[in-house]
This record gives sequence, structure tokens and C-alpha cells, in this order.
Amino acid sequence: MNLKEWIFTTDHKRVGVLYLIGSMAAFAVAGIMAMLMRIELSTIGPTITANPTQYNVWLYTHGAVMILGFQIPALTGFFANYCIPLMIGAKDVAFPRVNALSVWLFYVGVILALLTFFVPDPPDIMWTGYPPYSTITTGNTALYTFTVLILGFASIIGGVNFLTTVAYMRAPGVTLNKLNIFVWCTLGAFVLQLVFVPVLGTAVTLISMDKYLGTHFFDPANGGDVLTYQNLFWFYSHPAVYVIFLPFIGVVYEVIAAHGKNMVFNYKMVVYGGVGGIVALSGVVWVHHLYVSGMADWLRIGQMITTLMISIPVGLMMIGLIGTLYRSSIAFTTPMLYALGVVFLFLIGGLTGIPLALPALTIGVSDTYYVVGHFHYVMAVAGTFAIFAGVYHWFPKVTGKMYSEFWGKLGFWITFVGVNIVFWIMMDIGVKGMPRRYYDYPHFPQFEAAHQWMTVGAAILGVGFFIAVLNWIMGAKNGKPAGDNPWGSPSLEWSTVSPPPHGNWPTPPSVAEDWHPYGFRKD
Amino acid sequence: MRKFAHWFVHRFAHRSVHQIVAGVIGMVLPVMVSAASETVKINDPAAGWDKLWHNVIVDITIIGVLFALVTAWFIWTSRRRPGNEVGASVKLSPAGAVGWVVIPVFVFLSIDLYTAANGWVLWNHYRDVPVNRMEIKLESGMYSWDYTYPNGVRTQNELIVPAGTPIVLRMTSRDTLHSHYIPDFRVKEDSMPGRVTYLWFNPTKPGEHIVACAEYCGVSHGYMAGRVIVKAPDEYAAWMKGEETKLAATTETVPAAKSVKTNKPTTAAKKT
Amino acid sequence: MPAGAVTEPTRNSAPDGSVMQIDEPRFLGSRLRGETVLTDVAGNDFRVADLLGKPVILLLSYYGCDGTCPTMNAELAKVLAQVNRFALGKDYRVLTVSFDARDTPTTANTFLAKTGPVPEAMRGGWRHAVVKTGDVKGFAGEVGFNFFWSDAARAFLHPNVLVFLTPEGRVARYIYGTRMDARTVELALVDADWERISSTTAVFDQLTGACFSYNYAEGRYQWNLSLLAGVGSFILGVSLMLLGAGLYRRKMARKLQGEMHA
Repeated sequence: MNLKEWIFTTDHKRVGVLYLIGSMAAFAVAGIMAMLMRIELSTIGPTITANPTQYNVWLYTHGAVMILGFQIPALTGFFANYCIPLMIGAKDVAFPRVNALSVWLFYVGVILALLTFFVPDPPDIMWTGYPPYSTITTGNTALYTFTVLILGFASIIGGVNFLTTVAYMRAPGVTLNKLNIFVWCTLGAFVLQLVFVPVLGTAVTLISMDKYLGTHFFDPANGGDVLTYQNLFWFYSHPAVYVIFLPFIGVVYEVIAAHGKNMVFNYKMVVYGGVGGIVALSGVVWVHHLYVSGMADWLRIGQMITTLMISIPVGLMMIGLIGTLYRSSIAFTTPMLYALGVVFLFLIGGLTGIPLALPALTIGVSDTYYVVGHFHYVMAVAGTFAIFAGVYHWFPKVTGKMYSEFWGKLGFWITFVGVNIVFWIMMDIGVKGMPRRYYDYPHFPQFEAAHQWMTVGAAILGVGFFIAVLNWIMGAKNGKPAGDNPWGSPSLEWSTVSPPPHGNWPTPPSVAEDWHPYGFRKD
Repeated sequence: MRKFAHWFVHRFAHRSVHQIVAGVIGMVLPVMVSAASETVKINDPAAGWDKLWHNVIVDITIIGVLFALVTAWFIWTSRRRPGNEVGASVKLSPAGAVGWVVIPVFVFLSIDLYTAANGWVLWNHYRDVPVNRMEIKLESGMYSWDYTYPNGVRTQNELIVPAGTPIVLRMTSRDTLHSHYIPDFRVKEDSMPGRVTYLWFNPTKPGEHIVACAEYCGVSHGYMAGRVIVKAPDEYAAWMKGEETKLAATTETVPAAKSVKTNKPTTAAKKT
Repeated sequence: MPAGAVTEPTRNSAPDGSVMQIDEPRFLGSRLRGETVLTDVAGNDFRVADLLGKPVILLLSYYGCDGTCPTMNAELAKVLAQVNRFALGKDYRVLTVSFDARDTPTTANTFLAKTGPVPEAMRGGWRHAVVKTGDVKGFAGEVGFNFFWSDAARAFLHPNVLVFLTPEGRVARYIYGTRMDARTVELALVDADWERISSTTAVFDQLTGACFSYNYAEGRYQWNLSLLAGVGSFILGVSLMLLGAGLYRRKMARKLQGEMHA
């Protein structure tokens, strides 16, 4: 196993593992940023840095890297790469070399994002990069632009690859109605990436053109329009939420079905109602990020309705999950704990989003810690738990070895306690008026104790994640052999040896007439 | 738009939704307010916000607890144990499969529309500025709030207003985005160069309220704070008189209105 | 503005324009006091507030003018004839007011006789008036309009500007110059109507309003380039997606055909 083989690999499984390693590194860096911010905020006044710009750079890095460098690549990079060809019974992806290119681009993007720490003028424009600040700051807006462009491009070519793979390379007998839920979810996410990433690319390119080439796209003094950027940005970045949500809920479906040994409840409802509904609605709800940005009233009211309607497909997916739990046979393994954690945490995150769908209530809490708490529950916590569930679930497949259940469960419970301390308190002080993106809060001294609790909570959840990652490393090195199919799942990825060889199956798999990825009970 | 909204609110939200659904769930809703005897009817959105927020939180708590309890019950009863080695999911008939889509869709949709109707009512209160308001202009900049009263008096970071008069801020920015957030009045709206936005609030009692910037605007975003100082009407009048005298004195010595700060964003400055 | 022209504005043949310049940031969004009483050419008194309720194009002229004021009025009449989307009188109104305190309804009539009367079709929505109460400076000042008498030119120096007022009497836009075009006036009317023309139902107006943005430096409307770029890239994304789906369908159809032949 030499390094060169890994770098120049075109094997989808190795590409996937490279994605996992890169995104976990990004997760660690962005997590350290979060920890630094929490320490900084634990007292009023300077704590570990006296320079607000330093804090803003941490905040920028935390947001941009967590979303663009960790969650999207982990979900649509690692899981999609590793699992989709195995789940549909393909030897590899349709364009293996394009796949290798996408992972290289991803590493370039992550390195660009991490250059933040080495350039003299790191970007301090938040992951949203709103002009006019992003066009007048001394921070390096170009770094932001190119990070987004490269990661976006990596994601687009990945998307083309997987849509083609699923369209053309399914094994005989794997029909569209027998695809794993995860495959459907990921396809939905890639459709969104392909359609919406160009808009984000345009938006971030225009701010750099404004800043460095002297154009006036966002300069109202010369006929530009500040608000257009926000619209373009969120026109992509709201669908980006579903680019994260869809694959992670797909992973949770896989885990819950496999560890509950149960058929997914109402498969077609989940696929057409859930995935289809989310893809259909995702492009018409972006204004809920702009409820206090001075948008036209009719847009705010119109998108209040569409935003509330998002609860329908999401609700169907939750019913599907809970229905799958009904009359199942649940083994409380580590991946199952994480997946069940997602069900509860996502419930909190999703429901606390309902007030934020109303422009009238958003006027009170927009840009406060309430919003931060809400989207951390939805995306950060539920999403990351799902990623951890998935990594634990496919760990025996990827490495052929078993992780330690004890350390896995310990890590889960510690993290579970930690996230609830941090983000519950966060929502609470947000409702009471704590605005977000503050380096310091001398005008809100009443929240100092809450900030300190959150710092403690952040440390706890950090320990939990650390234990989990350490558990993987130790498991990969010294774990006991796991066998080919430790969970007893009929899903195709478990039908080959662990770890699967190059080409996945010695002979191309063929499936029986009555095969189904969730057909645990034969009767 | 507003006409239609009002039509909707009066025709639909007031009667059917509020009386029927609210009666069933047993909640008081934010619109049935204020005595009809007042000539100027002010639907104070801050009070409405608190009420609607409370109601929505109660709603989502009920939904959340229900879902969580059902889930927990399913998890407990379906744990793997002898005799339950493999799941025994219900095989849905085609009608059952459709029913499990259609019924939840309508349940969610009705909750959505009910929430939307309430949200719409409150939203109209937020945008329905009372006629007896005082209009103050706000120009935000890195990192201060600059207020101009109708008579030309200016203040910085201190918005001094009389109790009992609704205040409208007409806002713009001379550089980056800012958001004038008054937590106590449950109101905020971004200000930006090139557009005029507005918000209003209804100070009723003398007191002090913090103003915070809620839209990331630059390095000192966290320090961009001010105060709304609500004074009793007579105290306010006295203060304003003093300011007017001061203003008259300065306009005599300083020629013309040239002291007005330009509103062009800094990006524009380098071109002129 | 040319430097060095500031010292003696009234005697200088090239007076400093900045004296007359409208301080836009200060006055955009300001609201007119509706109580000012005006008298129209027929001698009827009316309040400014009576005229509001629709967007109003306010043109400040003086009736003794033989320079740009007649041109402005005539040009406006010509351009408004080309504005087809909105009907004068029904959707918006025009108000010409004199800022010369010496003007009376009589001089207004003389002015109209000289410049040519308001076209028949526009008469219902266009009024020429003078300020009755006399505080002309105050009225013009409400929209930031400055002017002064030049002895050298024997005329008032003043900006040539159309002031677009919202239905509630707020200043929405200033459009400068004696040359106007119908599209600019239409867009400014859309902008000026914060409530009615641009209503939910008038999607077309919303779209045109969004597609153009106002250039403060040059005082004109221009394409909102950033929005167009964004929409263009979105269309690109969608069409590539559809192209892919189309190719897939064709290939599948061919494959099916091939299988049938085989």
C-alpha cells in the first residue's frame, strides 16, 4: 500500500476514502476554530485574542470549511463514492478518471481554504461573503471566491459522474424501484448541485470582480444592487442545505433499516414524496434567509408559504423513518445510536425552524443565536451524527475490521450530551436577544454565564468526536476481522467481500427476482 | 398586495381559522386586540410577536413531544430480543400506501396554513405603520447609528423618542450592510446603500433599550451598539427644544447644509 | 464640479452647480407635507395631499422662464404620450409647480399659451399650479430643490429635474436633464409606486423593476447585470440538466429498439 497508488487511484472506493480523510481533516480544523471561538466568547472582553479580525477569520473558516470542506464532501464525496457503485452492483463509476480529478480538486479546494492561516490578509467575510463588506474589506476575498469555485467544480463533476453511473451502470435486476434510499437521496442532491452551483459560482465571481477589477455589480452608486448578491447566494445556498440534508437522511435510512432489520416504511412515499418534494421545493424558498434584508413584501409572504410547505416532504421522510422503526428488530449498535440520535435531534432542529418560516417571527430572532442554534441542530448536529452513523455502519466494509463498540457508544453519549448543552442554550439566549457573529458582547453581559456553559458543552462534544475518530483509527489498525456482512443486510454492498477488491465483485453480481435492498424477511 | 392581505386576514384568518381552529385547540390568537374606541388603532407588533411566538413554541413542543414519544415507544417495543430477530414491517396495501401520503400531506398542510395565516396577520401589523407616527431617518455606517429628526436635529447612537408616539425609521447605509436590531421591541431590518428600508416600533413607557447591529458589517460589528431612550413627552419636548436651539446656533455659523455626510458608499468614493 | 467657480455664483456665467445639486441621500424617502395649498390655472385651490394617492411626477418650473422650463414641460408631454403601460390620470399624475413667488394663475396661463397647452388626453392628470401660501422656498426645499436668481442671466438658475413621488408623497427618484425617454419614466414610476402599480398581481412590473437598477452616478436606469448573470447561470444549469435527461431518454429508447431488433 504505497502513497503513489492512493494518489493516482481511479478506484471509486479509494477515491471515497480519500474524500473521507480530507473531509475529516477539514472537520478537525473547522472544529478547532469553533473551539477557539467558544473560548474567546467565554468572557466579555478579549480572552485569547484582542483582535476582532482574528475572531472573524475563525468564524469565516469555521463556516466555510464545515459546509464546503466537511459536510458536502463527506456526504456527496465519501458516501456517494464508496456506496453508490456497490449499492447498484457496478464495478466502478462511469468516469473513474473524472472521479479522480474531482477528489484532487477537492484537495486543492481544501488547501485553498486552509491557506487562510498562512496569507497575511485572511478573508473575514463570513461564509456568506455579503457585499459591500466583501468588496471593501482588506481581507482576501479572492481566496474565498476560488475556494468556492474549485469545490463547486469538484462537486459538479462528481454529480455528473454519479448521475451517469446510476443511469447506466446498474446491475441487471436492480431497477429504479429497488434502489437504496441513500442512492435516491444522493441523486436528488446531485441534481440540486448541478442546477444551482453555477449561480453560486457567478455570485462569488462577481464579488471578486467588483473588488479587484473595478466592476460595479454590487455598487449602488454606479447602478449595481447590493441585494442581488444575497438573492443569488441563497438561491444556491438554500438548496445546499438539502444537498447536505438529503444524503444524510439517506444514510440514516440505511442504518436504521439495517440495524432494525426492517423494510423501509412506504418506500415510494419516501422516494417520490420526500426526495422528489424536496428537490421540487428547494429552489423557491431562499427568501426566508432574507426576511429582514429589505426584500419586497410579496416575496416574503409568498416564500413564507413555500417555506412552510417544506415541512411536507421533510415530514414524510420523518414518517418513513419512524415507520421503519415500527415492528423492527433494533440492535443498539453504535451506528444505530447515532442514527436514532439524528431522529431526535433533527426533530428539534426541524421544529425550531417553523417559527423561522414566518417573516413576522423572524423579524424578532433573525441573525441571533436562535438561528445559529437552529441550523446547527438541523445541519451541523444531525448532519454530523448521520455522517458518524454512516462511517460506523460501513466501517467493517471499508476496512474489513470491527471498531470497538464500547468506545463507540461512549463517544456517542458524550457528544450527545455536549451538543444539547451547546445548542439548546444557544437557542435560548438567541430568543432573548443575543446577536450572532459577535467577537465580544459588552452590551449583553447577562449572557456571559450562558456563554461559559456553551464553552463547556463544546469541550464535551469535542471530546466525544475525538473518541469516535480515535476509535476508527484504532479499529482500522487493530480491529477484529468483521466478516463480509456483519449486520446481515441484503443490500448489495454487503454481498461482496470486505474490503471489496478492485472491481468490487470477482464476478458481476446478479440479483434474484425477489431481491430488495431491505428484504430482510423472506416470506 | 396589502389590500389583498387585509382582505385575506379579515375574511379568512379572523373568522374561519381563528374561530374554528383556535376554538378547538384552545388558544388565544394575536389579532383580537385593542379597544375599538381608539381613533388611532395601533397593532403593536412587539406584543403580537410575544403572543405568536409563545403559541408557535407551544405548538411545536406538542408536535415534537408526540413524535418523540411515539418514536421512543417504537424503539423500546422493537428492541431485538428472542422472538424478534428480524423486523416484521407492515405490508401496505396500495390504498394504504397512498393514504400514508395523502393524509400526512393534508395534516402538515393544514398546520402550515394555520401557521401561515397567523404569521400573515402579524406580518401586516409589522408593515402597517400607524398614521400618528414620527419619522426619523437613520443612516448607518461603520460603526455608528446616525439619526436625523424631521426638524433636522441629529443624534448619534442615541435615539431619543417620546413615549406614546410610534416611531418609524427610514434607513439607509453609507457603507456596508447593517441591521438595526432593538431586542426589546422585537424588531430589526437591514439597512444598505442604494435602498431605503423601514421599520417601526411603539415605545409606550419611558426607559432605555439597547440597539444592536444584527448583520455582520465589519471588524467592530460586535461593538456597534446604541440606545433607544424613551422619554416622557414633556421631557422629550424639553430635550428637543434644547437641540433645536443648538441646531439653530450651528446653522448660523456653519454655512449651508454642506455638513451632510455623503451617502455614497466608500467604493464610489474612489471614482469621483 | 469645476473648482474655483464657487466664489461669486450670481455674477459668474458658469455658476457652481453644486449649489443647486440635490442632496439625494438626504431627500430620497422624505415625505412632503400635504398641507401646502396650491392654486391651479383655473384659480382653484387644492392641497398637495389631494393630489396624492397615486404616484406623482413633480416638475418645478417658473412661468416667466424662456429657457429650459418650457422645454421640460414640452418634452415631458412628448414622452408621456409614449408611456403606454400606465395611464396619466388613472395610474399616476403630473404636477407642475412654479417656484417663482411672483407667479400667479394668470402667468401660468400665459406660460401654457406660450409653450402649447397640455394635450387633450393628459388634461385630467396634469395640473399647472402656483403655491398659494407663498412659501415657495419651503415647498421646493421639501424635495431638496434649490434655485436662485441670477442678475447676470436675468433668470432663475435651477436644476432640470423630474421628482417622482410615491402615492403617500415620498420622494422616490430624481431624473435629471431635459432629454427624457419613456422607458426611464416608466421604470421610475414603477419605483415610485411602492404599493399599487407594483402589486402582487402586476408580476410584469415586478420583473422589470428587478431587471433594472438605478445608477446614482449617472442618473439613469441600467440593466441589473448581477441579477442577469445569476439568472443566466441558473438557466445554464437547468438546461444542462435537461440536456442530460434528454440524451439519457434517447439512448434508452435506442437500446430498447436495439433489443427488440435483436
